[in-house]
Amino acid sequence: MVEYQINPTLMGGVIKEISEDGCVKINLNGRLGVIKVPRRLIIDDIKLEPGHKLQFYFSYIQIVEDPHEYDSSDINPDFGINPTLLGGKLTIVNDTAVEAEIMNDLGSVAVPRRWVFTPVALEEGQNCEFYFSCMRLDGKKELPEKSIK
Amino acid sequence: MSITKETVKAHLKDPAILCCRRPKGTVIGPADLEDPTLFDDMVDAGLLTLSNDGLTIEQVLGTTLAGDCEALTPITPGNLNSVNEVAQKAEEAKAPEENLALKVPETVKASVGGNGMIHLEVDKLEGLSLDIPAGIAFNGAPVSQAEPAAEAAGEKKVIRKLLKQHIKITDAEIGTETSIKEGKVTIDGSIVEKAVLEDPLCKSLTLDVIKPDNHHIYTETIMDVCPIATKVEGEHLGEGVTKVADGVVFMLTGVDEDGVQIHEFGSSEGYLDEKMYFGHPGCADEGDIIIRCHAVIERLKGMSRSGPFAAHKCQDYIIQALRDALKDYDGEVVREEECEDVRRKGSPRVVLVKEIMGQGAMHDNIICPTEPCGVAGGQKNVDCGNVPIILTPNQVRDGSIHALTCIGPATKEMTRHYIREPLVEGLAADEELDLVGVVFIGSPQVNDEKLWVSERLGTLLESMDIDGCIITTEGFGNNHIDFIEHIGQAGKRGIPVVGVSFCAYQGQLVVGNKYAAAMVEENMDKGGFENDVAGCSCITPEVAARAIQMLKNRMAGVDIAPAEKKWNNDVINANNKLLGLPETVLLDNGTMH
Repeated sequence: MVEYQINPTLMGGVIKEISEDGCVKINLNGRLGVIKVPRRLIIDDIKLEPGHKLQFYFSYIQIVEDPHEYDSSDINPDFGINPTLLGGKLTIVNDTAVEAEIMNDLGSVAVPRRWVFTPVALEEGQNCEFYFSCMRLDGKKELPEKSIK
Repeated sequence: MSITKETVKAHLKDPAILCCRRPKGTVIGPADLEDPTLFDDMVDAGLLTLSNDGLTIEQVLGTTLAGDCEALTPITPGNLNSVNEVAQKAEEAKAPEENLALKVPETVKASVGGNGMIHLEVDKLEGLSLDIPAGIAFNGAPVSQAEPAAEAAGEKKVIRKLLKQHIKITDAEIGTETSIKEGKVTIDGSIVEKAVLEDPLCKSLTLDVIKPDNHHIYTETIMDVCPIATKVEGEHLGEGVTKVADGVVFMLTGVDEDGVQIHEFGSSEGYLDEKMYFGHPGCADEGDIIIRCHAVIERLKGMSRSGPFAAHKCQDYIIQALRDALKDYDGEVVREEECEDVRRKGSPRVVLVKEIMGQGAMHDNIICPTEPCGVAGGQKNVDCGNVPIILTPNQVRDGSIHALTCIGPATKEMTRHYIREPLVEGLAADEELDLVGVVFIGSPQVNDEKLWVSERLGTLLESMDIDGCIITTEGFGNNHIDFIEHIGQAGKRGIPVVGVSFCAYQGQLVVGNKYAAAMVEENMDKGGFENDVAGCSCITPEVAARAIQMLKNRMAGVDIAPAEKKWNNDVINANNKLLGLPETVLLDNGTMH
């Protein structure tokens, strides 16, 4: 039996794409994942562009066989960025990564397999939990034109 | 996470916090309490607020909750039916340990004995006697050399030799034939047409040459940096003669047919001079010519094991053509390395354990290929079940590992890292130690699989009858579970052990045990994050030197000062200073700090 504890960590990412439906695609720094969230999760009220840097809480992802009743009410830009334990469901599992849909239509997170802590072999449809938060702007970096999709 | 009875004893004076919600009437026991070692992190994360009127663990053990009590909330007198009376005892002042060096009183006599150990006698401490491996720094205290014993212990017995000849390369171009002449590498540009046939998932390959004065050039995600090295004598890797092209390396990049980066994860593409830590073991050196091999693989195959492997396999076809040219090229030898697998009987037997990734497409490695750093002829550690595989130091130094790892640019160990791995080189060169082997063990996905391979490692270490080991891991994440478990496997067998990893801020350990007390940090990012610079936070010669000294201290029974609660580069630099190493200067790559 392995005992460990996932903890929220303040992390950074860069906006790579903003789709017409308001979905914001964020690359985690250090090639550690891709997060897609609705625009409303980003606190600052300015026009978002590729290259905008964001700060938010995130954690490793834990596969849970008996999920809790998670409460996403703290994922509210009016409250700032608060680490909140959320539930999700794996929608993609491949040799490299998993993608999890976040509860209550809060977007999705795709992370490499070693970001996932699991007592069982990974399969699509499994429940998972992780810490997440709203996001705040942290400046902008100039992306090479070629790297903007 | 609840705690054990054993943990409770060490934390009686720490705040009592429930790990989970508990109902009225609960009699509080260790299983109800949160681990106090996590409190600082929880406070930082905003998960916990400590209270001045909170009770300590010794005040609440065995008492009963007067009402329901929430998790991660300090237990106060109002929550309980009663509070344990605790005798007040004056705290003994304990001076903080300032550094890891052993302070030697003037009355100490030290001498090097015939068994390779230093013998200490302390006049004022009756009965104290220590046996310590020779060569440990004693803050400048003179250490006298005893008369050599008749039969010298630690005597070197050479098992096999490897000569690495570094052949000077000064230029490279894509031309019409593949050759190496007068220091110039030429690659037949049409070779890519044959190379893509090596794997149907590879749709096209492009080659270009990046000269040292043109590093500000756009690059897709760097998948690997691979030397050009070939056997010219010797049946297997690790023996005979190997030629290594000096001044030129291959760099593999790749996308799929839709232009999506292979195993796309976050932004790592960009300008080469900003994306590579030139000079680090896994990277190109500042003066290196880089032959860039860019692969396009089948659509949607970037995330499967077969896709990225196809890119490596096809690049290897091209490198093999150059290996064949290098075999016949009698160019200027700029440097020769004489590598030996040796036994030093009587010296402390040590093992280096390298945990490598073992979870799939970008978490895999090829072990023992036919040619140094090659692909053909090798086996993938994932396919081998991630079980521990032991190599000799010479086999590692002769390119027995080809890295398929891609994720985590800063912390991944690329192919070039292994052929010049600083810990292998440092341990093998240390005449006070008997490096008996290098164990590679994969990190599987599922927790039970992690424990399974770790138990196999424990048995292996036990059977090798070693006196100490260094255990490293690559990157961070769930591999830290098995990394710590490996340390436990060594520790519970009484084997002194040192751990080496990137942890810093972002990779903080999620699990620990009492044996994980001597740890060496690899981070070189200003904010303590995984950054986008390939090879930034890996094992460098300085990391290796600190780890080897810490192992010697550990084997000698020297106390290692507890780590500070949070990563602090000043501690690392204090240790660097003790060992006469250059300062660890952190790279400001724009991560938070």
